[in-house]
Amino acid sequence: MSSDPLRRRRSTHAALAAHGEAWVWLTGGCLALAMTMIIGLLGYIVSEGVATFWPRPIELIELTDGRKVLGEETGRDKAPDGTGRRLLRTANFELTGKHFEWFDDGEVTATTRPAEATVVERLEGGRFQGFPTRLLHGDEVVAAGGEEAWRGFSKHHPDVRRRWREAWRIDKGDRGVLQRKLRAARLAVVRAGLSAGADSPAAAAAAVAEKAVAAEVEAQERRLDERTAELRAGNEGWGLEFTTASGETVVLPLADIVRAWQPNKLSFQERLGVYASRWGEFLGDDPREANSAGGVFPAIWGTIAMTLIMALLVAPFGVLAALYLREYASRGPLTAAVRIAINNLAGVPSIVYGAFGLGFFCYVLGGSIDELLFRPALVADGQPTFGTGGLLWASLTLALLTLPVVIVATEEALSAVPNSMREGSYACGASKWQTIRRIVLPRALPGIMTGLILAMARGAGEVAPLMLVGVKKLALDLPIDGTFPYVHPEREFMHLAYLIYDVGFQSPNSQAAKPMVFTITFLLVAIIALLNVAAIWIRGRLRRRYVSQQF
Amino acid sequence: MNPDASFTGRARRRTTRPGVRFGDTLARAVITLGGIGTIAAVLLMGVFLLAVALPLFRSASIGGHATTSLGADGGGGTDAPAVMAIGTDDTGEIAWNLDLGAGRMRLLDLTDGAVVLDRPLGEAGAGLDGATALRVHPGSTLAVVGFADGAFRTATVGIESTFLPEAEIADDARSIAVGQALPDADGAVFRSAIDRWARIRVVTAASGEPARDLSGRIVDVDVTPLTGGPLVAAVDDTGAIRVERRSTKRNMLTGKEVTKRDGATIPAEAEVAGAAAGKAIHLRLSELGDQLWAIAADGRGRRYSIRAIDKPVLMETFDAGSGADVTAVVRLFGGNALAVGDAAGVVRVFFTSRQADATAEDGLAVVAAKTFPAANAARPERVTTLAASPRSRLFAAADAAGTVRLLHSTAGTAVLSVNAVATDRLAGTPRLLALGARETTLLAADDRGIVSWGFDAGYPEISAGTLFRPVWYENYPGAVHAWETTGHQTFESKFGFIPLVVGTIKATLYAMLFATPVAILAAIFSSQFLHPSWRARIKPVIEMMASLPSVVLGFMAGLVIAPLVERGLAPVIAGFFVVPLTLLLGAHLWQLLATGARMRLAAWRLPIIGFLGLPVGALASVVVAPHLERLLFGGDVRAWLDGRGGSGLGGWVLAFLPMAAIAATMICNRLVNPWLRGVSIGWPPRRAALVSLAVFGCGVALTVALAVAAGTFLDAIRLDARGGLLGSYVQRNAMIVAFGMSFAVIPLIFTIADDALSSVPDHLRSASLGAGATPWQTAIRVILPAATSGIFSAVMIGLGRAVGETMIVLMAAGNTPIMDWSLFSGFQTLSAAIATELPEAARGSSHYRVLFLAALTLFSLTFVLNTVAEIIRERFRRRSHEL
Repeated sequence: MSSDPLRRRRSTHAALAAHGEAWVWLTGGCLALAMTMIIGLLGYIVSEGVATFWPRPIELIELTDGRKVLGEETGRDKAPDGTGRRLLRTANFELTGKHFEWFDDGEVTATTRPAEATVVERLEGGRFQGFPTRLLHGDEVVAAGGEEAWRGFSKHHPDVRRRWREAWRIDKGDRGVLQRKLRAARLAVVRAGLSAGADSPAAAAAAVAEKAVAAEVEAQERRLDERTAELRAGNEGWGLEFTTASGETVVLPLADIVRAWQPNKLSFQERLGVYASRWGEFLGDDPREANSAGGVFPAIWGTIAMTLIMALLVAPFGVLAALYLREYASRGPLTAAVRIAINNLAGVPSIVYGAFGLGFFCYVLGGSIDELLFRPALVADGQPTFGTGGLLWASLTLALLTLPVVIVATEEALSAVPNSMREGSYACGASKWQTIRRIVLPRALPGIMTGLILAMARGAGEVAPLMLVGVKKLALDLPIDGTFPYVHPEREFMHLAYLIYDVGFQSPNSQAAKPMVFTITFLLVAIIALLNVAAIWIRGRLRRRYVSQQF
Repeated sequence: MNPDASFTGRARRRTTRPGVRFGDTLARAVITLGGIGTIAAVLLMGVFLLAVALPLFRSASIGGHATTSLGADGGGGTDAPAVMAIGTDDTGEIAWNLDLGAGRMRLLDLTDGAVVLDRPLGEAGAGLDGATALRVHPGSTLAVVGFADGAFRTATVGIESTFLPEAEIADDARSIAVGQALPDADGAVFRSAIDRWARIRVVTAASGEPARDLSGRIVDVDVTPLTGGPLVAAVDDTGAIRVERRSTKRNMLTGKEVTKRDGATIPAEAEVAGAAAGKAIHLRLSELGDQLWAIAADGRGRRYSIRAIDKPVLMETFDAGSGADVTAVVRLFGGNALAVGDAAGVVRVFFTSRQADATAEDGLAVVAAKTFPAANAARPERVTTLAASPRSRLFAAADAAGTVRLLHSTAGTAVLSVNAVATDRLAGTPRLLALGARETTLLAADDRGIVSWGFDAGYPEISAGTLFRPVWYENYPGAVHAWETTGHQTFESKFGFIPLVVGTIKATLYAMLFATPVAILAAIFSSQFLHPSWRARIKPVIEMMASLPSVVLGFMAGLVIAPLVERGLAPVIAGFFVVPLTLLLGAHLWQLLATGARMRLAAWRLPIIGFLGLPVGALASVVVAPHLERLLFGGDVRAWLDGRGGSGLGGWVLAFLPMAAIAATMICNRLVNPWLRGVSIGWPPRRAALVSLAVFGCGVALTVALAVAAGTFLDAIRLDARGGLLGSYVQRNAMIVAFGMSFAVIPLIFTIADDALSSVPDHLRSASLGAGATPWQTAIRVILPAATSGIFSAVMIGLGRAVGETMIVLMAAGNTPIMDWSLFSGFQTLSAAIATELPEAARGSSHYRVLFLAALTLFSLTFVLNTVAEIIRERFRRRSHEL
């Protein structure tokens, strides 16, 4: 090598292989792949989630065998033999036994988009698609002919719907309140019996009180019955007659129709209207049809309630623990070990927390609470109150799960406060607590908030432990509502993230439920992204503040 | 100088105000208490999991005993021992004893052994007089009795206990002490230990007409309840067997009940060709009534199929004694297994299972799956009697020396052992045993007395052996690892941990195999070759991926990616090889560009790779896929994976491609590049690039050649990847899980690795570059070694996340606890088992505790992984500080 130093010196750049361009490309490819994965995933969720409620045109196709089918095209792919085929949402489950059907392009002879084609969302049985022919009220034909019937429907449907809504509110809300009142009275009897003996005057008094309550409840029930009967009578007989594409005639009761639209006739504004109305139902209503249609309001509410209670629980304890570790504990191997242990708990699988929550909170703690405070309920109908999953236990479990996150974040924030500030404070004569309260905590607050928000983001999206400690597929009684005592920590609740699992994997009509899952996913991801963005924003502000305050 | 006066003239207080001091003390107390409390609460979790799981390994314990004497004359004074039956009520606090020798029914209080009730059977029991054989169906009061004249009939024998409502408790019963009973007209009223009153009704009576198809003295009988009516079998002392089903129909018009008897008699001389079957003295029906087992005293056994009740078919003969005489037989819970005790003190468990060498026409063979050696190996004693638990695979065995043992047929272990013959217990050899309905009471009786023990079996079906070693379960052809806790075979839950552990390892392994290279390479690029302003934007995006809920990833993997990949399996498989190849090719083409252009475009490398390289690679995969499929897999990958068509070559070639690529790279680096470096000095860049492209082409060819050679070799020696690493494709499989999980793991590893790489001190980098190394050489030979431990800890943390991931596995793995390593089959993990089964597991049951053991396993595993990662990271931090 050294035999020809001149030759070596002439080489001004290294051999091409030394640049490793190929390997750099490979590493770049990996980064690009990771980016593609995340952007592709988010993009797919957003595009599917946003598009779910947009009213899409509906096609009438004629087949070679003479059949006519009305449906919304939801998919298209290539059959193995190279010809195209399309997936139509044919709806009308009660007639065809199918919600969706594939059609080869070869068997389709004509495709049209008739203006009169109507899509109906019903309370039960999935969608209905057909052509309105007559509007009926009892035996009377209110309007005949497609145009007329549709106009009549648009005129009368809001009233019918309003009456239905009121009846529904009575059934769900008012009757529930009465039943709870009755149960409370019954439990009072049991309680008196347990504490003073079955033959005691207290028990007798409670029994008398229960009779009075029962009588009152019955009277009120009767009033409600009258009111609902009146409302239902108002809706009775109203029906819209349809002819389906295949020629059958079906009359749909107006009260069963949630909403109907004629997608091929809609202008852009009207489309927007339908879109907004469906989003409104999604965000504000209860679910229908095994959660695969309707709204997700209880789940949104449950998610919010659970996350908030979790934050309320985790914030003080997390901050206390971090303050202790950073400001009070003596620095030594023990503290270091505890710190490592806490760091590690952040990596313990969430399902382990769930198992702990079920075993300790629900069974041990909840069981003891039931024995001590809710024995009447346990005796009366064997129903555990706190001894089973519920909002409180779910929040506690998730608080435990996110505690390490908050402790670590708070510690980082505390240690980011320059020591010079503490020393300055001490030099001015402030005590330790005064320093912490007036100097350290305010400076660390944004950091603590960041940690808390990240913890909330994690809590909002965590499902596995919740499946064990209180999330249900259907729980229309909200965990926080307007009846005393407003917060019901023992109630089971719905959760957006669990809804994804439930609707996506346990729905009887999974094809039709899929768009719904995408919308729920979109909503959940949006909430979590929002929380993350808030955290990043706060982190940014925190940095700026430190840059300006550095001395 | 006056210390109290300050220069402002105002006196200064030099003591802290009490309020401040109090506040400080209070804050210190609250924070210390709260902090330590919080930390303790978090750490409590591990302790609690341990506390729930640990009782699984508690050994069984036996409590005190109570003895009841039945009078010196309990045997009825004849030579033949009296026919007796014993049992307990549901709580295990009251025992009954039917003594047909003396014609009496007794109720015993097991707390002290006192006889609560002792009365003659009376009129209802008259039909039982002179019985020579009696069997009560466990868990019910259905019984069958055989007589000396060959007749046998069904009966109800035992007690029925029901809890009394508060209102129905009579005043005299209210005053009895806890654990005491008060006799009344048809039984007794009993105040149980949980302070509730129960009515105990003695229901012993003969029912049904006697059947008189046999002529000899009946020596054994058996009965099982079927939906239409009981199925009864009896054998007499000539060896003739009668089996019949009784169905009672009520005539709609007359209201008269008609009992129909269908059945068949197997004559005594029914000898089997070649192997004379001995005279049967033990007879057992299967619970479902489809099989009949007859065992002779010398251990020769026969198995009949009685699916057609009037035509029993002899299926096979088997040896139940192994040389010693058979002395006791019992049907175990679940109904299709027998425990057989012999004169040598050995107990064996027999059941049928599908065997390759079965001679019976139903393809089943009787196997001796478990063998329990004699209680005292030095002095084996005859097994005198056996009794099965009515709710689990636990059973009791007594021998002539009076040793009573509790055995568990699944685990194959002796749970506990106690001596029944002692001065304050039984005088003679125990000849009857019974296990209480709740498995808390054990009864042993001889002719003159009954002794009872309270016991706690613990969790006999769980041991290190049943959890981690293969176990021979009923109906299985051999010992297997199995996890099956629900479903049709609930009589024997299978708590084999290994399938779940394998599933967990499989999910973790495949996910890490995909995620680790991608994440680390991406971190190298972002920390070394990416402009800082780009990096500042890209990093938060990837970090955001980490905060995506796993249920979203699981949903996407299970419902979006899985069907897509199922439809386009070939392009996906091709993509694993074609996309990297395209990128490498792209790099070589890039080198062909003029140096100036390359410099100008250097900052845009990532978008060029992302928007050009990847799509072209994906497109190329789609184009190449059909050809690849035709060349390697005989035209259809899915069919090939199912084992239809094609040779094993294709799978091996793909499996060896990565290794061949590494080998080819090493050859290039060791042999070709040094040579090229010498030769290429002074070449114009384009020429060097062209040569490099040519070398690359040769390298690819070499790679393929090596892989094909290795594949051909393995195919030639008849090895096939199918069945091992590859197998039939199911929609939700390990590959989909690996892909879904990588969404969760990549950002985690990427973030930590990127931090580690970019925190390597700048002076190292500057020195390396200054010494003439290229950026790539600097990255690989200087930065990467310095950051190794940081990257290692990143991988450990990623591993921790992958091990415990629940929702993705739950939604994309199909949840079937299969044990194989195929990339394309489903599986179940520890975490998924906890998530799906824990809500249904009864609190405190072995299922519940085993699931907590799974949680504890996950907890300790991730704890250890993370601690190791943390320690390494700490050391790395210190080292990089020193650098």
